[in-house]
Formats: sequence, structure tokens, C-alpha cells
Amino acid sequence: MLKFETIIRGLALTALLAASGAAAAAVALVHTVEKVVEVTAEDGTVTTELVAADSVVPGDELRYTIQFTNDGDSAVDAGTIVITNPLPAELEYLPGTAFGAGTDIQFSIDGETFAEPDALTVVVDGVETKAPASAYTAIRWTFGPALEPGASGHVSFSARLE
Amino acid sequence: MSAVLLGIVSSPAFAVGTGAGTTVTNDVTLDYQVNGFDQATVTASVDFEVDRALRVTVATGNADVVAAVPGQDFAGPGAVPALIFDVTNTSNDTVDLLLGLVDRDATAVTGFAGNTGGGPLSPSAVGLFLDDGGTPGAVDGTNTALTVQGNHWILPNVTEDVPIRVLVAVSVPNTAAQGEQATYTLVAAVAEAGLGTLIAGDSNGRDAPGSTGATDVVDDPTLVQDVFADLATVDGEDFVYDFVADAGGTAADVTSNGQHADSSAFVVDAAELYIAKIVQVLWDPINGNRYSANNSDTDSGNNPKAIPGAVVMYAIGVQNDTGSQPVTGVAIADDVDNLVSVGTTEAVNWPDTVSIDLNSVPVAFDVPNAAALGSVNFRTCGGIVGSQGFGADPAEVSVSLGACSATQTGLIVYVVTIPAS
Repeated sequence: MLKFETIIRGLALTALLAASGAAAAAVALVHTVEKVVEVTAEDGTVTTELVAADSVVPGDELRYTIQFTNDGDSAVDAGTIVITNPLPAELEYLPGTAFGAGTDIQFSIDGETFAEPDALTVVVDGVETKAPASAYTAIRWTFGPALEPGASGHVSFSARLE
Repeated sequence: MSAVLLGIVSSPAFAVGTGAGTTVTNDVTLDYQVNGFDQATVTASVDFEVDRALRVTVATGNADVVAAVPGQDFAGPGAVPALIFDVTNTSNDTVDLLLGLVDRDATAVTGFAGNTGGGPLSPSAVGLFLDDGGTPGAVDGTNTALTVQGNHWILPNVTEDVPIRVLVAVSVPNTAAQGEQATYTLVAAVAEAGLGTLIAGDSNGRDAPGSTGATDVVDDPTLVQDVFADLATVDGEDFVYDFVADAGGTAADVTSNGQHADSSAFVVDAAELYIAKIVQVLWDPINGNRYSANNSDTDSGNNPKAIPGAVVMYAIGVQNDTGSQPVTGVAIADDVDNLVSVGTTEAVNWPDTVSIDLNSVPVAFDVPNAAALGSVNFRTCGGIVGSQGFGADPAEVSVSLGACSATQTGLIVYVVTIPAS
């Protein structure tokens, strides 16, 4: 009997999954890159602007933005949106530039295990020390709130082209 | 969750820069759940193409002016010290580098000790070489000469971030005067790899010196565009080179013009050799010896005169001045007057030392203790003592004193007899 109920529940779960697939959330991503340039006004004030990354040479700073939108009919569960961005080998992450409202941001130096910056260490000349931002190979954002249908959010970071 | 991750960080390599034309792709994934169930991973990607940043640096390896010696010839034997320049392609692509030399006359080089502003020195020849010879920093006949293109030179197919040490050598007329200065600015400009064609402008509308017509074009993400990324030189003496006219420019190097420059200088450091000759009567048949004993500076109380039969000493002293260049092949020639005869058979006493004024400063010279009355006696700059015979006509003195370093002295001394009447 117990065995039967388990089977039934299993069937019920399968059906539920099928049903949720029909009315599932469909999260869409829009990924953009722009170049950060400094603009000097006539009064000497220097500001930064974002321009199209059409002309990029080594040393340029780039700003990546990842926008996510719930295009579906169902809400996305709170705390389950995880955005992972392995860094291209040609880029060096610029410390303190990762941003994401409502997100918990972690980094990785091996591309597999993620942690807060203070928990990432490396060994230099036999001495364990905090990993520099230049050693990061991936960034991960975990979005805390639920994402209701039609809602969106975005995360971003800057890196320099080596 | 926090984690402690251990890894090894090695010293960062010198950044070459991402190569021109490289497509940098950034992939991102998004995972999520609905009602507790995993949903299919969403992915997105964005990329851009890396343009060509054209950048070259020139930096002299000299901290001071380089001494040039009158008569030096970089095409001849021996090692000729040269101006040192390190030229580096810091672009993100292989390029040819054109090298131009701007003659800045006697302009002082910023930060250098030893600028004199004298002259200017006009070399009889100038050559550019790789510092790959047997004498680092000098041209010694084993260096590779750079390929000449008109009035400039070319380094073909220069890879990124590998400094190339270039030497600028000059041949100097032997009439060049002490303190004359020749300042040169070495200018390097980017050119198409393997073609030697000057890259005359970039996509931002910036022209290379002497060029016109570059326009600021709309960025094209599908094209690898050129961007001059060179820095301006800091020092005002570092002028540009006009590779279009193939002549030195008259303005200081600026940022983003496809070239870079630095300066160094030669200053003539000629040897200062002093020479003087004295004459002194040592003996006459009436008064006898001036000195009380041989090789003594004690006067006998006699005052011999230059009368017939008298024995007269000639002493010639040379000295290389303090701080002067070392010299080699110092030779003294002296034509003895035909009215006297060389040497003597009389018992004449030599002094122990003679004092000879050189550059108005009295210098004491040791007379060789074994000085022969019938020969030419010498003490070389290296301290070798000896004697040799007179030459013909009917008597000539010709003595080699060898190499003379700064402050070293040499001496020749001999006697003649005034014929008896």
C-alpha cells in the first residue's frame, strides 16, 4: 500500500511538472557590453560615459550588463535565479565593480567553487593571502527575491581588456 | 556559504596585450526554479573584436653623455662606444618599425650629466646597428648594421614587447675639439609588418608627422581598425621625424602620432697631452759638473756654462692630463741640432730628477739611474726604463713611450756636446 501511494505520488509529481511546464516562467537574458570612456568637460571636469564597444584596444575598460526578465506566466522562486559569468581569458575583472540589486555576489578563482572575496585565498611564495581580484575567473550572482511575471532585474561588472 | 580556496599565483607576465583581430566572447548562464523545479538553463553571449592599438616606445639606455674621441671610426678596427636606445613594439600586433635620427646639434639632454653645449660636433659618418656584437654598447665590427631605407632605417617584423637595443655610432674627425657635443633623437614609427610602409594615420583621424588625410571614421565592429596609442615623450628635445619627407621634424613628439622618441648625446673627450722640453748645462771643461755626484740633485757649487766642449742635457717630458682619455702610441721625435754632437765621453753627473713645466705646472721627472751618456734614455708612461741609440741626419731622437693613461708621465733625456772651438 505504501508502495502504491509512493507510485501515485510519483505520477502526480510528473503530472504537476508537466502542468507547470505549460505555464512555466520563461526567463530571457539580454547581454550587452559597452566601453567605458572618460570625457573631459570644458571646465576640466572628468566624467565617464558608456559607448558602443566597437573600437576596443588593450587597456580599455568594458562594462558588461546582463538583464533578465520573466517573460512567462509563473513567478520564479525566490533565491533560485543564479547567473554565472565565466570571465574570458582576455579580460581582467576590475575590483568592486560587480553589481546586482538584491543579489548575493560571489567569485571564483577556479571556475567551480564560489565564495565571498574575503574567503578566497591564494598562496604566494608559500604564504596564504587573500586572492586579488585579478585572479578571479568567474562571477556568480544569486538573486534573492522571487521574480514575478513581467518583472526584470540586471547585474553588471567591469573588466579591462588585457 | 564561504570557502577557502588555495591556488598558486605566479608573478604576472609582462602584458603583451590581446592580439588585434581577436574576438572576445563572454558567455553567461542563468539557472532558476519554478515551484521548486529546475528549469532549463538560459544562456546568452556577447562579443567584440579587438582593434589594433599601435604603440612604440624608445628609451635611451644611457644615463650620461657618451664620450667620443677624435679620429674614432666605427667602420675601422676597435670598439667605438655608441648611443644606446631600447626600441619596443608595445602594440598588440607585429609591425615594422621605422627609425629616424634627428640631429639636435648640441641640445642638452634632460637629466644627463656631462652636457657641454659645445660645438656642435659634426661626425663624418653615422650608423645604426643592433647591439649584438662582441662589445655591448659599442660597435666593434661584429654588429649587425640596420637596413637603410633612404635617410632612415627599418626594423622588420618586430613582435610585441620584445625590446630591441639599437646603437647609434659616429665617426669623428680628428679635428674635433674637446667638449663638442652631438645630440641625437632616435624616433621610431609604426609601419605595416613586412612591408615597411608607414602607417600614416589612424581611424581616429590622427596623422603621423608629415602625413595628412586621416579621418575620424565611424567605429566598425566588423573591422580591425587602427588606433595610435603611443605616448608623448616627456622631454622637449625629443623631436619627431617626418618619414614622408624622410627628414627630421622640428617639433616635439606628441601623443598618438604613431611614433615615439628619446635622445642621447656624444661629447668629444679628447686626450689632453702636455709636452715640454728643457735644456740644462751639466758640465763644462772649466767649471766641471753642476751636480756633486751622479744621480744627485745636490748642486756641486759649480755653474757650468754653454761654452765649447760643454755637455748639455735635453729632457722632454709628457703627461696625460687628469681626467683625460687614455691614449696609445705616444711617440716623441726630436731633431738634434746639427751644430752639436750627441753624447759625451766626459765623466758627467746626471741629476736625480728634473722639473719640467707642463701646462704651467712644474712636474718632477725621475731621471733613470742607469742613464747612458751616449744614448737616448727613456722612461715610458708605463714605467719601463731603457735607452736606445740616436738615429741618422746626423742625429735624431725617435722614442715610443707607449700608452699613457690619465695623469701618467713619460720622459726622454739625453746629452749633447758643444763642439770645442
